[in-house]
Amino acid sequence: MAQTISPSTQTISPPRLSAPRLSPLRRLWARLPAIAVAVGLLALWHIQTRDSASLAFVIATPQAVWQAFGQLINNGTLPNHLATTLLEVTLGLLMGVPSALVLGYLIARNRFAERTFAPYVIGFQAVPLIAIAPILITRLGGPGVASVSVVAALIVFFPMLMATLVGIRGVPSELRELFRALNASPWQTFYRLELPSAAPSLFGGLRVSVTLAVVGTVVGEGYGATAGLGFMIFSSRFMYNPAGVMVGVFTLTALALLLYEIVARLERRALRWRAPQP
Amino acid sequence: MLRVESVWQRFGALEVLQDVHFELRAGEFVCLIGPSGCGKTTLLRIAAGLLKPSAGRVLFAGQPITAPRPEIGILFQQPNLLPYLSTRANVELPLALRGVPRSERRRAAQDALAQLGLADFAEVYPSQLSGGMAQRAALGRALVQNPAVLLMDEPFGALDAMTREYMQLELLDLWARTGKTILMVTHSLTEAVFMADRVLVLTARPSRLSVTLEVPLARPRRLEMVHSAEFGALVAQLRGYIGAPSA
Repeated sequence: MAQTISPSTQTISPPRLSAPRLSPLRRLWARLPAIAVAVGLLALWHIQTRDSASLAFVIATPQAVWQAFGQLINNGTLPNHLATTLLEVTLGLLMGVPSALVLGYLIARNRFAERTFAPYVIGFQAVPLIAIAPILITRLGGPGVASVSVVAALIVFFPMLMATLVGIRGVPSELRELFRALNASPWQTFYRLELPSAAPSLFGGLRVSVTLAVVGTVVGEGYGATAGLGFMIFSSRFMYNPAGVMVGVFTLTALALLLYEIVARLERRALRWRAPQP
Repeated sequence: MLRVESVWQRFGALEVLQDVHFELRAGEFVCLIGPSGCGKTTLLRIAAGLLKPSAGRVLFAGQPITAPRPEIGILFQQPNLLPYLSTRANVELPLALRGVPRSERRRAAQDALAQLGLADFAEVYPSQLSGGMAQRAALGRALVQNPAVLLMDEPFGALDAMTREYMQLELLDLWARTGKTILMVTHSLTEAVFMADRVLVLTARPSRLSVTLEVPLARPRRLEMVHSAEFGALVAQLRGYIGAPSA
């Protein structure tokens, strides 16, 4: 046999990397189930509030909420509270995520750090935030953006830490061996192996974190804050203004969805190497 | 070229290697064979500088090996490509880690890929490569530093029979062209006889080097040699050394 043929390269051409883009109509069609759920919920809400005048102090009709939306936007109340919450969410993430990354990495890579910190980190997760939030807030100069951000950071911390642990521990040992065989420095191993290998897990943690940060601000604002969407919800409830409560809730929901979508897009960009999903 | 001097290895109470010594001459193709779990991979890791032996040492060009070095390339059983880098970036990796300028390492990677028939797949991620292509890319990564010695740990063990045969011929061709010194661990007796100038046989654990089989078959090796009486006799002889039940 003089000539051998390659069984693996002969007929295969390089595959395309991105899925074909969908037409607008197809995309609308793909969204239809989610839209149907929204319509269904709205109908249920409408039926529940239609003829129960006795509940008017607890549940607002969709129309009342819609009107309250317009009012609160026009008189600047909603934009102000939203700005405060957005600031608190951002600061909370900026404090909570990096510290979780650092501590998570230490615990994943260092036995001593694991023995020292792991019991407290896990134990702390069982402490209800509602129990310690008042203490935190009084120690951090009273209610305000600073203390609320810290509460948000604490809520974000644990899921992000776990994502870091799982991600860094999941780096295949064969790849670590490869990097050792290539004489890679610790820093090269970190940014060329550990960080990209852990990225899917880190993005998972980040998705959870951004939505939890929103929840964290509401919890934090429950202790005497005077601004923010959480404050708006609590004060509206106090004044028997269910429409105001619902406006706050919807704005929070929209904020969480928006942040989640931002992370999801970043993730799609960063993890383009993953095989395109069918 | 590469000299293993009375290497001993134990992990706790487990004695793995006992007084193993041999030498690879420049340009030689040597296969290392032995029962499974006998410490072939351990020996290879020691030779690569990835593991410090309990006793003894390994010399490369007269100098003891204490850490991995670019003159000694290693190829694992699995391709171990980084899934988030393109095939080309994977091949470039050893150079990138050594700080070789981008344009230079890109050229080296393109050359290696072209030689291995992977030029069209340079910008594709490893998940899109077949098993044979992935292992060839890993070979490209091992070769891009132009090592004098190539250590291979059952490099074709995970491939299907056809791809395996093709890769064996391709490796022999590459070896003949470049004159590299190759030490290949395998568990296949026929593969050892087909590829090697010399086959080193390790005993079961604790392993020592029992015999060396010289393979006098002509070069270049051809697939049909496998059916010759001479080839069969060599394989039978090797099987006798290992004590494996004949199939």
